[in-house]
Amino acid sequence: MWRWMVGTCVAACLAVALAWQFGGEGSGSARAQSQEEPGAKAPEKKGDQGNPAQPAPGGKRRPGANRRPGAGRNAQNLNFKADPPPESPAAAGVPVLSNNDSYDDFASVVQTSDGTLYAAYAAYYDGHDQIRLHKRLPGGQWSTRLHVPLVQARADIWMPQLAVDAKDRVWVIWCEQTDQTRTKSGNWDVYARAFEQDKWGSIVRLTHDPKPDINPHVTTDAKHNIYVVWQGHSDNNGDVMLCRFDGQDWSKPQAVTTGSESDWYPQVALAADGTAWIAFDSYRNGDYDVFLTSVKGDEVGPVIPIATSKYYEAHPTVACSPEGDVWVAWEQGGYNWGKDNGYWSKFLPGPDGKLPSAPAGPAGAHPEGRGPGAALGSTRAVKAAVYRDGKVLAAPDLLKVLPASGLGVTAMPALAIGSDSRVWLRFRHQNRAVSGPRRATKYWVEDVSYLTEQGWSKPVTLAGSTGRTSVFSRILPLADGGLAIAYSSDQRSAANYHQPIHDQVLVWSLAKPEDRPATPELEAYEAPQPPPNAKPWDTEAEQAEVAAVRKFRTTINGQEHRIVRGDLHRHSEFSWDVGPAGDGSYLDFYRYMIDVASMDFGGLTDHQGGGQYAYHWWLIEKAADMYYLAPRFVPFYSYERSVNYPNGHRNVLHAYRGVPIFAFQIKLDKPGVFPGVGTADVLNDDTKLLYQYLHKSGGLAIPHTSGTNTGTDWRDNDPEIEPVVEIYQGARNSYEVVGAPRVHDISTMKPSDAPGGYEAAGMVWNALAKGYRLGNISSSDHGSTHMSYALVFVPQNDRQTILDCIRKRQTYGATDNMLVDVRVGEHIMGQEFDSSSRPTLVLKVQGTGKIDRVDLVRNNRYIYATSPRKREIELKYTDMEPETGLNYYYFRILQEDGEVAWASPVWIHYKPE
Amino acid sequence: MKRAVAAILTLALVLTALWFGRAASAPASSAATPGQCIDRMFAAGESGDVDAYLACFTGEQRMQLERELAAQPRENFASGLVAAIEPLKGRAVVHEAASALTAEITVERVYAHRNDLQLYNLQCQDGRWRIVSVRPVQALQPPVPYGTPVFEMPEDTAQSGK
Repeated sequence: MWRWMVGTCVAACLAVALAWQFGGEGSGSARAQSQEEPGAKAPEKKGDQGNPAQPAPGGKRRPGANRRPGAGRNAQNLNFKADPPPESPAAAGVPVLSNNDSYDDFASVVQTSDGTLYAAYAAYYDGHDQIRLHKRLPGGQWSTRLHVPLVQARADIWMPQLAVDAKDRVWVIWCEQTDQTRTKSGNWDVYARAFEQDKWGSIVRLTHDPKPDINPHVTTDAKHNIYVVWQGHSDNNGDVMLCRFDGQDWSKPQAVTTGSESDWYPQVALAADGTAWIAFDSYRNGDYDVFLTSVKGDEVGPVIPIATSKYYEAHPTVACSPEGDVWVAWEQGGYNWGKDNGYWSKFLPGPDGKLPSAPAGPAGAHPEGRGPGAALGSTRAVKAAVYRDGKVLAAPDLLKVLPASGLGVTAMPALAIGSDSRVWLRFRHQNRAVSGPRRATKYWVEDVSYLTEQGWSKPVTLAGSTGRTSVFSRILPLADGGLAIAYSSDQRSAANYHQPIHDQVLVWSLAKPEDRPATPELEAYEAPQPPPNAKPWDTEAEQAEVAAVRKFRTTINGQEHRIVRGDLHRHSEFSWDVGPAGDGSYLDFYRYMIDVASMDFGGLTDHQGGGQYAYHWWLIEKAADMYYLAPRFVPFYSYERSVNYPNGHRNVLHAYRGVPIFAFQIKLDKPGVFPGVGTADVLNDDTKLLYQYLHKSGGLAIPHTSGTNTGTDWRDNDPEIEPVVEIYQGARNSYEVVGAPRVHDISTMKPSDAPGGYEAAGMVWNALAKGYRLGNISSSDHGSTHMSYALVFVPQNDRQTILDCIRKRQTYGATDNMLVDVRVGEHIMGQEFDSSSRPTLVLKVQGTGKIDRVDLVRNNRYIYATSPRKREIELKYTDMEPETGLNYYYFRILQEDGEVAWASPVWIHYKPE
Repeated sequence: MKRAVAAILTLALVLTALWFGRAASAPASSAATPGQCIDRMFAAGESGDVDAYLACFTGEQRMQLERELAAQPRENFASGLVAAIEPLKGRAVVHEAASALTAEITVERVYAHRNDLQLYNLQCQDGRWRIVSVRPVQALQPPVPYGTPVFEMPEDTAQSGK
């Protein structure tokens, strides 16, 4: 039956491949086609992947591949040209506050009553963070920097911002981590400190909750009272919090929202009547929606839905007009964001039992349409609306004023309204680096627009604003009608769209526009229609399946254990191969893991921690501390280390922060830039040196895509360091053994058609045959979401415990929330032991669908197979003819709907009496 | 007199101990779970232990087995038990449903070239589980024959290695 299924899948695969061939997205040159692009044709030539910077134009494009919600204009525009890069700061005369001794980010700007501008930003310097403050001098130049004294000397800070109070004191408000140790994440709290007449006031600690208080947003009202909103996590879920400074005292934190679902990234603006309007996004409805609420005095108003479709709607910004309008803008992303998406989606039957007729997914989903869900980096479009008299009105469409030749992809909006009622909008805007259809060649720039009677003005791209997605700039309407923008850039060039050069902060002032501030006639906001053939995700059913896995308890060595679900192979904008497209930002990773996939643990595994770029690794590690929400969610400090076949790609994870990334041991005859993604040019003992390193650091390595050009012939193994293998990944295939579910079938397809290539010696059965002790997990890799799980039996959910239990191989891999428990007497899968009696293996499975096949393998031979056709099974198998000596056994479970689970093997030394 | 009483008491104690010891060593009769009863039935069959085998059954099923035993030399019955188990490669309990006093267990016997499915009904009497009926064997064609290698190198690719 399983062979029939595989055959069916293969036939479908061929049909889909043919359809793709004649209408599909081209692969460009072998050089251009990154090996990390899931589903990409394997490069013909192995080599350095460090500089995928010169992709060749050309190739075919699948119609509609770039569709996005609300973007009809470009739906058939298949031949893009590279967008013009922004001017350089020098050419545009934009001041750069940084002087390149640090990596600068999170810029903020304020203006005191005499018109003086102050700017501040976070500076990563010498292994810690600083906050640096500058003042614009009367001549227009900026002062040298003043360092803000922080709580800790070697501080770890987040999102510093400025505000000016009624006494013209400049307040710096920031988040800082304290009480962290080498092995433990600390506590993130919000702090404030005023600068007045060349003196610093004392530090005011605004929050005391032991859980992270992060993602602050600061504003002032007409009387210069300061309002701070942030994201608290008192119950390990995001809640909107608020506190105020009335000129004398800071109030105690006030919970604006509560509840078990996550509320994210609150932003606050003050209306003329003193009402604080707070916009935030929330997962309370089972997808990301935008809401508005208000606080007047101490009274919290109702939660008002603004954008609540099944598209991704997040990162809202809010501004209040003098006329009483409340403006909200947000970014809208893919439908069913973060749900099932990956290479095998297109080969699997849908809810109607039929295979997809075409590879395309719903609009706004993965750019290549792999499944019912949208990838985290799916297209974004900034939307705006006005809340007026209890109604939500649609603001003009920003897309109409974007360059017709461009992608029309925008994100991360920030609104501000001047005293002249001019509505300003800042946003990130995606540029194509090169001509042609390749999706990976993109970078982001910063644009500013304002509202006129005809709609949004033609956006101005800020000089030197190239960079990643996750830039939190601040805009400030000035007293003279102009606008100040404090922003950061990593100075990447269009030619090297993926590669940061150095993060710096700039402040640009736009002069007062000549157009009169105006608001056009607004009509009622209408939620976007679902894409054709798309169905909302069944969140309730998924929650029940997750709850069943979480509820399960079992005893191992006398100690109660539970199953934790994780993903140890995810990428973000920090990976140079896909770059700032496809995988979303490093902060999107946390939304996805905590809410969408309800994971218990995970690791963001960008290549070399973000191209061995120090600031990226700093942000990755910092975020893993900020979102340490144990036991709800436990992030690891992790990265991918990509050495080509036959050495192999591996993900490396640590339970504590600060372990330097182990660089490639590059041969010294290799010219050029050190590879930021992967390489084939390593010393012969590169992997063994990695093992030595990880023995000292306490880390783990997990090989993946072993049967591809990025895999291994299993020349190396260290059971202490590499106890498990990522047997399957959502981005590509399973690498168990040819003929098994989700393995590229060379009997019906060309080996070279396998995504990532095909290397027979890399199939996992070879490693078991060599005597390697490898447990199984699965995880996602580029682009894929929600269809690869690493499941670990743990007594408690913290970093070191999970790592220890992975080292014990108490794991299994699955493509869905399947519960699998394998026992041999008192032993659990993954263990190795002696037995004088014949082994009896007990398998318990709680499926998410009816189980089509259970296979039991001993010493690489099938010894039992059955088709139970039930959701839940308990099977007890006694091997009547075990071999004297070592026997390894593992179960594989295949559901009727194509979902799969791979139990870890158990190794039994059979010594009959 | 005292000696005689002591001797009688000692003998009684020894007999009692032997009785209980005998009960404890009768594996099939002390099966505390339905699964244990099936395990012991297979173990008794494999070793040709006729008494232990019969002790796994009760009621009409046991009477039928006893009639079969009576109809042939005991050694033949024992060797028949052994012969039935010998070709077995494995056995799987694929279904088990039990209440306090009754249970139903489906066992799949795995042979080199075929599988058999057999359903056992059990009863609990005095805390001991015994088989009361056995449904006729149902032949099964396994999805993968026993012992099939997970991978056999195709001839045309064996040389290239890909």
